[in-house]
Amino acid sequence: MPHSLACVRLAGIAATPASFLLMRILRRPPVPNAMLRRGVVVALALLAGALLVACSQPTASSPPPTPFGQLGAGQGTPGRLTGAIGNADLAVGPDQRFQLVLLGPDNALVSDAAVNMSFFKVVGSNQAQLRGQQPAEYEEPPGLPGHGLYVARQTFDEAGDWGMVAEVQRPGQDSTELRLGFKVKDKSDTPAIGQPVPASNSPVGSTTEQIAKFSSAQPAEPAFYRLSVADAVAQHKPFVVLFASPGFCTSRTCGPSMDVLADLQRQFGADVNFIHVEIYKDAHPPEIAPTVDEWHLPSEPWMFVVGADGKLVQKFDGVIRTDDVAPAIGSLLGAA
Amino acid sequence: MLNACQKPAIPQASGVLINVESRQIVDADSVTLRTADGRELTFRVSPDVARNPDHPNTASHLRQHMLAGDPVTIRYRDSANGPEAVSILDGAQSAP
Repeated sequence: MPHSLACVRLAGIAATPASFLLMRILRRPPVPNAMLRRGVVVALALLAGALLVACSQPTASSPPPTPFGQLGAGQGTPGRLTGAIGNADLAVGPDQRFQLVLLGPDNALVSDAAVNMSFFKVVGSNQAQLRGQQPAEYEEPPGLPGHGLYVARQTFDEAGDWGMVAEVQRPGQDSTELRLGFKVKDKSDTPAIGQPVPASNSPVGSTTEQIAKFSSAQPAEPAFYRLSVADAVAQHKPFVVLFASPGFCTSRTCGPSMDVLADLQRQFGADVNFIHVEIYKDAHPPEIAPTVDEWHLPSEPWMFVVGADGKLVQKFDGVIRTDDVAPAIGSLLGAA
Repeated sequence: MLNACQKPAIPQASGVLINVESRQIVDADSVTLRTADGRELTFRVSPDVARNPDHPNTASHLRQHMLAGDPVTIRYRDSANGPEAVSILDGAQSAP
């Protein structure tokens, strides 16, 4: 379903192919609890009245609609697809890796769909401009079949409110449209591509005992802790740094990202340094390691590819795969 | 009557996370849960959630739950500013 209009009016539109009801996205629906609660109240009125007066206990209630403005989730219609945005740091810049988690009506991850994403910049109270449209690829973390998400590359040329429409086609089912609103920052919290990375004095060690004091990796690969980030910058050699706490998410995204780091080291270890930085100070939450603060990470895991000049070449978060990072390193080495 | 006056069970809701709002990596500001019947419930998050000694659910860990579609159970209390999650547990848990 092509979005042929460059500028889409959002209010009072008919059901055209280009319809983009962003106003609906930007307002969460109320939690559907009032009718249910009314029935309960009627049925138990006498008993409840007596007990509440006697006991003065707080009563449980379903939460009200969110008062928070930042968006990132779908409309929440029962029995429908919904989605979540996997990115934690979307900012103005080219070729951003936009990650969409798709959930079926049963709340299970969707992995069998063909997904096309269209990206719109909100330009007024009820208007949005189409800024990009492409098919998304389904990507899984290594060793975790069925636990992937959908990724599309999009250039965000302007900060502010954006919208995304995903056309989702699952086998044997009618096509479904999913709409999400999100914000794009003018500057990312994490280091920006093309800019020097912080030359942090991340902890180093050479023995298992030394490394266990600051890394939750089990077992730890000593090669990832022989250099600090500052050391790597000073060597004027490309390096890859992974921020993750593998001891606290062993089976999902952080654990697999350590495997990716090892894979990449096997491929590029002769020409590139590889470093793991633990998220938590002393390898245990909740206090954050100083290097993580210096890099302003809002989430984990993150993997950064840094050139010999100490400037950031590419960065990856969330689901990180060897197939995504290796080309960035290959291009870096090819250009050197 | 005396039994009826005992403190009620902590309210809870189970489902999958579809949004985690945070300004930094440890403390989540709010989370949105999608329940099995399709409701979307948003909770403010107590700082205690990230400091649970048994299972510290930091904002980044909650995001990993969201990315992986792993279910959680949120136990919460009502407050003047809306419901506040006081603990977030892995999986769908029975009421305490």
